[in-house]
Amino acid sequence: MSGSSNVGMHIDHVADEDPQKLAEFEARIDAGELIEPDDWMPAAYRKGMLKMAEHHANSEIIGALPEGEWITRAPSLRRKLALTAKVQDEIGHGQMLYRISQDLGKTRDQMLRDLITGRTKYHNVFNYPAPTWGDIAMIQWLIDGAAIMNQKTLADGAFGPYVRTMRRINMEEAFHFKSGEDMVLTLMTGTQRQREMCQEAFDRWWYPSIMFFGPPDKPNSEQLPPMRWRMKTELNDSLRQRFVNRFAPAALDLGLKIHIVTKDPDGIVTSKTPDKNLRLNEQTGNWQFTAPDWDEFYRVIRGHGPCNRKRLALRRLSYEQGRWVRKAVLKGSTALPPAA
Amino acid sequence: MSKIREHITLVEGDLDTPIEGDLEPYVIFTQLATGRPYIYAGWVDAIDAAMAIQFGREHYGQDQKCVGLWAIPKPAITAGGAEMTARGRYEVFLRAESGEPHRSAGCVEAESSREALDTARRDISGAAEARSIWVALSERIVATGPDDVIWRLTDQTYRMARGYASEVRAKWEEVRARKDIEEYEKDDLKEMF
Ligand SMILES: [Fe+2]
Ligand SMILES: [Fe+2]
Repeated sequence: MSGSSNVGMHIDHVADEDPQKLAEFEARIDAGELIEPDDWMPAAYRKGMLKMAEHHANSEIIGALPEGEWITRAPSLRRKLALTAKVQDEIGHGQMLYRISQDLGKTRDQMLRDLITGRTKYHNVFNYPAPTWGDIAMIQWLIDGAAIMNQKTLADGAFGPYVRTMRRINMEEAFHFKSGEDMVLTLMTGTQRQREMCQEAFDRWWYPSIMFFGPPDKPNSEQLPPMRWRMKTELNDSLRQRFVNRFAPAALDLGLKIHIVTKDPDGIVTSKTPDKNLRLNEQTGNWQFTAPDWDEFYRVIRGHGPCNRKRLALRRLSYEQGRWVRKAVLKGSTALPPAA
Repeated sequence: MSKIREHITLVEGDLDTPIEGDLEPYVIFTQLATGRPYIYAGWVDAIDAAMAIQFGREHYGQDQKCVGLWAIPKPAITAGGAEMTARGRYEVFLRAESGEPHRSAGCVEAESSREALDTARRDISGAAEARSIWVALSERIVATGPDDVIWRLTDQTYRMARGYASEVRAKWEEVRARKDIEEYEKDDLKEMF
C-alpha cells in the first residue's frame, strides 16, 4: 500500500547552491540519469527526498495497522494467510524506506519517535476506519490499486535507492491488488448480505481513494522542484483521472453504485446520493466525476479525521511496549519483559 | 484483544525515554540460481550477521526464487571513499548501467580497498566501463550454506499475484456475462408468462 504523493513538499532556496554544480545536476536529471547517495545533489534535494521517503515509510507501517486488526477475523484460512503475508510485506516496505531515509541522514529511532509524537505525518488515507471485512477488500482493491499506479510513476523518478525500492515494492503490491480484486469479486458474486457489505465499504472508500493522489496541482507544478528534479513524475490530477478511468467502469461492472456521501465524525456514512456527474466523456475518453470535498481532506490531514488519534495511539503503545525488546537486542543484555 | 486495542487512549507530547539508537546496517545480496552472480537486494538493520541473514531471508529471499544470500556490514563495502587497509581477497560488485543493482563479478587480491578497486578496473571484465564499483573483503561476507533452504517449501502462491490470476479472470467473466444477460433480459415481458 501507500505512496506519498500527498506529502506537502515545499522546496525552495537553491539560491545558495553552486550554479555550476546545480546546472550539472539538472542536466543529469534531464538526461534520465539516476542520482546516487554519493553523488552531488542540492541540499534541498537531499532534504526533500528524506522527507518523501520518511513519509512513505511512515505510511507503510501505519497503513498496516487497520489490516493487522483483521487477521484474526479473516473469513477463511487462505484469506488469513494472504492477509498475514500482506501485512508482513507492508512492514517490509516500511523497513526498506526507513533504510533509505537513514542513508539520507536521519536515524530510524528518531523517525519512529517523530511519527508517534506527531512531528511527521503519514498518508492521509489511513485515517479512515475499516469496520467490516468489506473494508479490507476495498483497501486492497482501491488503495493498493491506487498505490501501484502512483508507485509505478515514482519508479520512473531520479533517486537511485528510491527507484530500486519502488521496483521491488511494486512486485509485492501486485499481489495485494490481485488478492483485493479477488476479495471484491467474491463478495459481489456472493449473497445479498455480502453485496450490501461490499457496497457500504465502497461508499466509505471511493472518495478517500480519489483523494489518495493528493490535492489538485498548482498551475506551475511541473516547474517546481518535486517534478523538475523527478522526485515525482506525474501530476496528481493526471494520476487521479487515470485511476477513475480504470476503477469507475470496473465498479459499475461489478454492480457497485457510485455515491456522493456524507459521513459522521467516525467516518460512517450518514447519507448518500448517486454521483450525477459520473459518466464517460466520449470526446476525451475520460470519466467525469464530482470533485472530492477538499475541506474534508485538509481537516483530516490536520488531525481531525475519524482515526488519526487511534492510529497514533496504537503505534505509540507498540513503540513503548517494544522498548524492552529493543533494549535487550541493542545492549545484548538479559533484560526481561516488564512484570505484568 | 482487538476490542482493547480499539480503545487505547493517545498519550500526547514528548516521550520521556531517551533516544535509543539504531542497529547496524547490513547490505543483502541474493543469488537466484547456483553459479549465478549475487545481486544487490537491499539492506536490513540487525544486531549481528546471524540476525542479518535471518532478516535477509525473510525480507529479500521470498519474492523471487533464491538459492543463496550474502550479508555484508555496510561499513565493510568501499565505493572509493574511505579506504580500508586490509590485505586479502576482495569481492568485486559492478553496477553496469545507471540505476541497476550491483552484481558480484569476481575477486581480486589486494593490500587495501583502494588497490582492490584499481585491480578490479584492470582485471575484472566489465569493471572499466561500470557505472559504479564496490569492493568488500571476502572474509567480512556472511553467507548462507549450500544446503540452506531459503525459498519456501510449501505452496505459498497465496502471496503472489499469479496465485489469483485465473480465479480473478473467471470471476470477471461471470460478472460481465451476468451483466450482459441482464441487459438482454431488460425488455423481457416477464409478467406475461
Ligand atoms: Fe500494499
Ligand atoms: Fe506497501
